[in-house]
Amino acid sequence: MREEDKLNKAIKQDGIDTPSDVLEELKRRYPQYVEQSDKKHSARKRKFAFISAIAAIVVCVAVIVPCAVLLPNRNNGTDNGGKENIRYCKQDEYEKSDVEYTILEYRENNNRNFLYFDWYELGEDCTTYCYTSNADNEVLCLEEEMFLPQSNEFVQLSITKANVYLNAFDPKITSCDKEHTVDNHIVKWVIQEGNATCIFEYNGYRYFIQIKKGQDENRLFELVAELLETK
Amino acid sequence: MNKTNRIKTLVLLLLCLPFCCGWTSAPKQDNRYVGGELIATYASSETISYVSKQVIENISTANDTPEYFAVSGMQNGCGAVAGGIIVGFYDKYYENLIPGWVSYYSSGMYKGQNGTYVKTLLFDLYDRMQTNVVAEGVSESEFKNGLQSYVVDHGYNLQYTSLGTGNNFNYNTFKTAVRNNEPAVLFVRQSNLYIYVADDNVDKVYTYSISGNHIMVAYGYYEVKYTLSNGTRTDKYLRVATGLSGETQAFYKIGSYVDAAYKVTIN
Repeated sequence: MREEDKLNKAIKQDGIDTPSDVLEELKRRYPQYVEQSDKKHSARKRKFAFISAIAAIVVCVAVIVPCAVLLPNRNNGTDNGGKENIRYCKQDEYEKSDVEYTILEYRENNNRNFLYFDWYELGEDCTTYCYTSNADNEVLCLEEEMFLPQSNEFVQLSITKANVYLNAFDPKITSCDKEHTVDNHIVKWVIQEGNATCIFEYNGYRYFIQIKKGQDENRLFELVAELLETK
Repeated sequence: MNKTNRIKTLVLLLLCLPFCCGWTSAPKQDNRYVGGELIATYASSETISYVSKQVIENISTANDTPEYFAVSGMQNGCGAVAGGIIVGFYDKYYENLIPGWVSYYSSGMYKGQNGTYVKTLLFDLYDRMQTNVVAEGVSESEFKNGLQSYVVDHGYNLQYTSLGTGNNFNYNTFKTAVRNNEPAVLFVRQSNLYIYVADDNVDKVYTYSISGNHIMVAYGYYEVKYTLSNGTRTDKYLRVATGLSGETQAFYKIGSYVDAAYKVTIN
């Protein structure tokens, strides 16, 4: 006789009716069998939970990652440079041209909020350059050079969005390794053989100031303060 | 036909053979200079910690040179830019070189790149040097002929004096030229430019390279001797106007990658 039939017969003989009574009786008579069954049951539970967790992870990776990559970046093209993706441009990806307008005129005509030198009445030979992307003609950088006769200085101001890096400025970014604070803004600077240069960021834009033949960092900080007055 | 005549005929035939078969030796290919891309290589930037330092010589032409660069529409225009820097430099002394404009301020400092006059000058040189006509960029001879043609057409004379090539660069002749207020043009292959930052007891030298063949103007030199904790070292640099936007001046070390160098005299 099979084990199951023996059990049924025994249950009938003992007059046990309710499921809980049956389970108790089974545990009493066949403790080894019931324990093994419990173990098998919990093992199946663990296996199921493990597979479910793996499946959930796979589904998440399959759905969320492509969405994150493929969905358009909402910040693209807005005027909040610091929050956009970093854009690095090599020499053959942009061109530098002289333009008729000044940085101040560009700022006003295009409703930009970057800082500027209000030096047009003081200086001589102001020349403005625009770096544009070859791919989409986007303005990547504005640059202005001015000779200041009072101080006999030739000063260059370049402005990029904080997320835009042009390889032409790599040497400046790398060599400016000293820090100073002007009006609570960190200014990185260097006096190299030939020029005085500094860099700082403000409101989503990066500013480069260079004094040709300059050898005085304090003059750089004065110019930074002058720029910050136009905010 | 006697034996001597047979030998003569044979030798003649052998000499003619390459021409009959079209085996002419290839003409010497001039290097082309295209104005390479600026590549940052800061991993090799160097910090020199020294006990003491002596700047042996730090000499440049009067007020260095102008710092012109290629603008939009001047693809591979390093030759025209280097030529323009030479013309702008000498315009201070021979004012008809750039008609209607003076290239310097009353202090002697050179002006920036004027959007009208300098741009006209650069495009004129770009055409005279036949930039991108035979192939990309310019050759040494195209550069020299183009610059000479411009100067002669404006009423002056121009002489090139060779300063040697590569490791045979005549450094002493170059130094004499600089002291006589005469700049030089360098025709170089891929090589490094340096930004030199002097500080207290520590100097830093940042390296960046130009990716292709390039022409630039040398106008000075800088020699420094360091006493280190374990010996001494002497560094020699040329000062150059790079012709590259962004970093218009740099230091340069002479090496085997210098194809040619010429002192340029205009009078």
